[in-house]
Amino acid sequence: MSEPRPISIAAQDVSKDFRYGGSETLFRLLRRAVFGGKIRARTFRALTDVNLEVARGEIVGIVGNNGAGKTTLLKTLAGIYRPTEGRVRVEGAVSYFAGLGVGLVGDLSLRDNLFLYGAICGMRRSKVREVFDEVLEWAELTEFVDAPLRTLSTGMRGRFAFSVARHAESENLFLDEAFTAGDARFKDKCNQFFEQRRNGPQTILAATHSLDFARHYCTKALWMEYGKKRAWGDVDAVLDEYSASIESR
Amino acid sequence: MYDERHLNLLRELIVSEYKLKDQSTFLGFVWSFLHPLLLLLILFLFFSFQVGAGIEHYAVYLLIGLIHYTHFSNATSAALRALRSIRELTAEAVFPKELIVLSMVASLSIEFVISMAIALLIALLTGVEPRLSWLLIPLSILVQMLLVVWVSLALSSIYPFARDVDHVYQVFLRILFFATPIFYKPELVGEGVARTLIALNPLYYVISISRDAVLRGEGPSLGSLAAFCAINALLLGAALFLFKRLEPEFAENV
Repeated sequence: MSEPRPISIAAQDVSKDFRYGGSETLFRLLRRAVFGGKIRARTFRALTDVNLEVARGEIVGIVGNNGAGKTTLLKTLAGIYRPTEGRVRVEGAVSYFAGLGVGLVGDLSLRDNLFLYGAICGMRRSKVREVFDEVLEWAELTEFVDAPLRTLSTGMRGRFAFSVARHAESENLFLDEAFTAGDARFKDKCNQFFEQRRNGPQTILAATHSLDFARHYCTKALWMEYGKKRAWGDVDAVLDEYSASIESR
Repeated sequence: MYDERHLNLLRELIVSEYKLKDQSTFLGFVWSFLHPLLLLLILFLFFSFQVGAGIEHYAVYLLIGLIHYTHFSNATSAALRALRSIRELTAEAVFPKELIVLSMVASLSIEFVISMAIALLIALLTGVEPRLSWLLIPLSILVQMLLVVWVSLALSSIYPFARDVDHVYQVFLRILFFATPIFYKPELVGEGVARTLIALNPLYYVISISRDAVLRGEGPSLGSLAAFCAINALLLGAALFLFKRLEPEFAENV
């Protein structure tokens, strides 16, 4: 056995509430600041007491039904959301990619988005120039380089987002349904990417509905249900349990 | 806290926001200068006879005030909404979000710098004698930026939680236009409360640096400049502190 790898992502009793209803106004904010009092809004608990430790280099598949808390978990771990309770610790930089190309700006062209998102992922202009053609070719979107992103189909946007994500050099890569948007050919290409990343130094968390993907490429699996960690660990064990629960419904 | 990667990202954000604003067309830029110029024309038409009487080079006096005010108003208003107008990044990407606000201010300040250069040209053409003190204009631009940046950071960090800040701020800007000696001399308001308010008005202080430099060949007193910068640097620190405190809540609220 090789030495255990260092922990790169840790969540300790993480819970996350969202407020809804009861929109705020400046007047209410000021009144609360002066007179105190509580926010009168309903809350929805999206994550409940999630504990998680992910070692560096692990590829974790996160499965679960819609609304199970997969995206909330990724965004909370990424630091985009502040946990309502508990603590999150992540070693190194995080790049977060969502499959439908949110995180990219609809009114900018592919060219501009590429430079912008490259910079968000920590790439210099020269590095973006270097991979520019390759990113577009891989996504099969070279002819759309000057088209605004919003004019592309959902599948095309997904391809573009994933194509950029492949070049992110940050220590942690969080992918939210980033490879389920495309067709069969696109999925093949994605699989090649994950093949290369196995046993690499990058820690990858991937929320997915594709159990095949999780089985083939992930080193760990996490099953989320109603905002709770339902099962965690060995890929086959977790996925078997998850599929059994779907079939029994 | 910030490294080269953040500087690189800031540059890309400035380019993006500039392109998003008016697709960086030539006409887009012309409009941004035409706006204060049209205002100038109207104000000159109505006020040069009485209010502007006794102000030397009234047109240039007006123009400088208008350029400062327009930049302050445009940059802080756009920055106030910045986290929402580019919410794809606020809510879906990982990086220090103050860069969004700073880049918005920077992208709107390109016009400000060019407008000031054009104002100097107009001053020259209308017979204002060029002086060495014109070299102080970059200083007044920097001082204005200091002011605009902290106001922008403070406003933008409140906006996700209370959208009506925008409405309140637009009313405030309208009041500010009249409360700042842009088209009149501060002496016009007499010696009462209004005069004290003018003395405390940071925007007017910056405008006077430019006006004194261009029209009177004078620089600001070092004491007043140091005090102004110290107070505004403190406020910048406070605004940044507030912004960083609220930052983790932006994504779910914009």
